[in-house]
Amino acid sequence: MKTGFVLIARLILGLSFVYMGGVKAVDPIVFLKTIRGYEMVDNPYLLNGMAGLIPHVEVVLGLLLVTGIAVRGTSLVLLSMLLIFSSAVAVKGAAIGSASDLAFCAVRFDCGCGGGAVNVCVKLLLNGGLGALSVLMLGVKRHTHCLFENLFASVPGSTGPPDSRS
Amino acid sequence: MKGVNRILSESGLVLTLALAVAWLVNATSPRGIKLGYDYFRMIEEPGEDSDRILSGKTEENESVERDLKPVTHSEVMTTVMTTDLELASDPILERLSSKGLRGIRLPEVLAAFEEIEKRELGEIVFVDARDVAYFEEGHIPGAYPLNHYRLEEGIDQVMAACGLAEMIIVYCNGGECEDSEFVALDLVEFGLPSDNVRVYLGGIEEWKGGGRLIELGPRDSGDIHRID
Repeated sequence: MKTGFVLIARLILGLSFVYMGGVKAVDPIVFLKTIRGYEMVDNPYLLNGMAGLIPHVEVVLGLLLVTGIAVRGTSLVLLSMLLIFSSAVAVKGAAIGSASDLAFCAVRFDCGCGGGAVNVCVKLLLNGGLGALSVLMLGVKRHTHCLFENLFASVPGSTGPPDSRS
Repeated sequence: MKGVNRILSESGLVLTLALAVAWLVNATSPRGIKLGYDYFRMIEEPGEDSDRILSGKTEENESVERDLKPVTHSEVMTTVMTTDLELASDPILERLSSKGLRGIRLPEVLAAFEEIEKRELGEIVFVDARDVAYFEEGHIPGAYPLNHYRLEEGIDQVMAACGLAEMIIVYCNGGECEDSEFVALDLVEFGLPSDNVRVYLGGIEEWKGGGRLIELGPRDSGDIHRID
């Protein structure tokens, strides 16, 4: 696969998470209220933990990808997060649609994803796209322009520190 | 298989590192979440039910007592604004009632706002429960900002202002916005009588919708406009 394409995909994925996490991190109280609105978590301390930590975790993971540190491990974490978030958005979207007698794809709400109110189907498509990029990152064995591609480097030709191919 | 294990180990390490950094940033940020604080607690306040039990009164004889008393303007202002019928049909009123709070509607809020002397004496106090950024974009003139999630930033000022208050009207955006309810509960928890605290149901959105006055910027900025 073209290394340039993989690099651009990695930057898009990483910067998307830096942006989405950054928007939430600016005012985590708004995010706290939003995730409470999902009515999926009752425990107040778990809610606090999610609201206080997830935005920063997203920024850190995004930066790791952009700088090329632990690319495949980071991609796996991002993929897992995307699956959980997308499931929550889908369930909430379905609940809103059912309560307001709207078709699923007509539902629009602030999912707390960092971009304000959004159409639920558009959001799920965007998440699907980011998920596909994460899978791509996982599937590619050698990434270029990385500071520290593998934390546990033992694959022949893979890069531990320092990356001579960067 | 070895490769899969390596990726799993790496993802575990990455997640641990990210969580540690996130915790550190959140703990040191002035806008961070207080992880050990229950922002959404339901305060068990000594409301009228326990008062009634302590005084040995029943709802029936209390209502007879109320009926026998002459009603003054001040009492109209502070009378419970809800009826059982309203409670049954309005989920927000029902929610307020379950928390020991009372709602207040626009006519009563307007009447309170027009009591200029009482407002100046601190007998009627307005409290804006929204974030300070929204507060500065326009609030009911003279209202104090108090954000439930950043209580430490304004509670002292509001408590000092409410020392003589007969009526404290708390509002946020209105509708499903719960911030005014949380602030009302905070005020009760800090020692204000729950009978004096009212939640303005329509909130700032309703207030702005009717050509009424709003103040821009900080409290008492004097930058007052009429919304058309």
